Amino acid sequence: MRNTKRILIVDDEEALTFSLYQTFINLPVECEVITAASGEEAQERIDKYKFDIVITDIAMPGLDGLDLLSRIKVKSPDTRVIVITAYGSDERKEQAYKRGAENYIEKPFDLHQIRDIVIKMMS
Amino acid sequence: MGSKISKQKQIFSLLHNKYGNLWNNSDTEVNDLQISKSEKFSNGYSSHLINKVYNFYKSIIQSLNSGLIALDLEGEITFINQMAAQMLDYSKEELLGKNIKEIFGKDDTSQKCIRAIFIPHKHIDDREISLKKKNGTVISVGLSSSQIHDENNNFDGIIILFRDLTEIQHLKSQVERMDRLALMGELAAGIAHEVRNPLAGIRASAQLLQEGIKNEKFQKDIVERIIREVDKANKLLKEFFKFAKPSKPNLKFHDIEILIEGVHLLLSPQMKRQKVQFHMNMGANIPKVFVDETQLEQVFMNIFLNAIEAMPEGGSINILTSCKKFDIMGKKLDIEEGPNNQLNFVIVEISDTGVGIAEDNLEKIFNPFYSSKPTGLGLGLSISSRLIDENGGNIDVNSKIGKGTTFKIALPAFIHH
Repeated sequence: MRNTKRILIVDDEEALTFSLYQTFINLPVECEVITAASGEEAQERIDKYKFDIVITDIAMPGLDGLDLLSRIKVKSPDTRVIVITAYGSDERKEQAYKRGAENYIEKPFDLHQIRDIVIKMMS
Repeated sequence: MGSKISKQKQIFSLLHNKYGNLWNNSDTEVNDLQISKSEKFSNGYSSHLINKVYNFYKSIIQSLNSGLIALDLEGEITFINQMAAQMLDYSKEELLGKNIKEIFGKDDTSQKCIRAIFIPHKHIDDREISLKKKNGTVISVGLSSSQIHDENNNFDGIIILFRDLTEIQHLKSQVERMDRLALMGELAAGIAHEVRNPLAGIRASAQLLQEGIKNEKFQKDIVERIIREVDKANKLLKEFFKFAKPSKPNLKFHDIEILIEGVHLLLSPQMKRQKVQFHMNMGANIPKVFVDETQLEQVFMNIFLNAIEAMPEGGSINILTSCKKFDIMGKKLDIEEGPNNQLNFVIVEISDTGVGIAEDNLEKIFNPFYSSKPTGLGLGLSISSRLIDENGGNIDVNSKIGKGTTFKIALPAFIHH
């Protein structure tokens, strides 16, 4: 039984990925945090590991976040997915929830907000 | 049916020969022509039949949903139907004998059109011009003209047919407004997306700093990331303003070959690296183009860079130039001004042997923030299209998946004879 929680952050915005990484490695829960800068990179990580939580952007090079979300849900239905996006459209929000996202957060967001959501998911 | 028509033709010919101009008056009844009911023409047709045919044609002309006016060679109105009078708010009597010049709009297009209709053998086909109503207000009409010839085939008069475009223009402007609003919505969404992304990075980095990181190197690193994100957002906005408000073109005569070759030289190291060959095929007697050199270089640079990216395995870029005088890619040009002012276009075709663009995406490629490339902002081709427009040219694209893409650019060139 694995006790360490595994989190994947998928975003091509380096500054954001870095900040999220720093936030999650300092969580009170023991976490392994992995990052990916594209949908394809994320796919490779998913093929290799099982994640408890995936935080993914929508618009990314190659495979986009919504397609990635669908693939995650096929491969590992109990992985919980948080979609973070700079698109503020209801249509995308609806699509994200339809494909199994648990949260949809619009950029820019409060780091504390996403940290609280992740802690809650892990508890 | 055929024999009926030929009978009617004979009757018309008889009437024309016998009564000449009276025939042109729409209000003239056959009885006014003083044909007694019992009168028989030499070939035996009765006035009853003539009356029937006359009324048949008269009702067609009078019930036309378009205005119809006949003119003599001096431009004097010799016939007008009900709809023409109604559209112009005149009575038919007020218009008969008036010169057509009095009812044509004073704008350039209308004045050019009025000159064109008197040119022998010239037919005008649905030209958008303006006509003046009795009260001086102007209506927009689609006008066609054709010429009448007498029995010896001499140019004898002109028929003009026109329809009111007010309603169509109203609908058109509504559609344009909707398109503009839709484009504005797309633009706003595009800008919001591109700016929110770096903002998210900046906010998150600032929050990390706020949490009181002690490590100085780490602090410096985060601040540098913030600066990079601010620069990124600023670059996006700069690019966007280039699209929204390009600087006024500084138009001068330039040799298109030298201009393209200059851009090719800049990109040749990159082309070599990516195994992209470059071929230029200049047409004969290509005149100089009248454009802004820097803006055109930017356009060619964008297209060449896209072409290189579309050929990751290598390939070739082929340039073909030619010269055309008019009517390119749906843009109609008025060439009635005579040879000294003829507008000419140099056509530059830029083809690559790349991956091509799917048909569904072709119409979107000039839209701002549309990009098929993961790292592209989607502003290159929208800026290029805008710049070509500002330079008085036109740009169009054709593409086939797996075969490649061809951009066709028309640039103004003036030939002085």
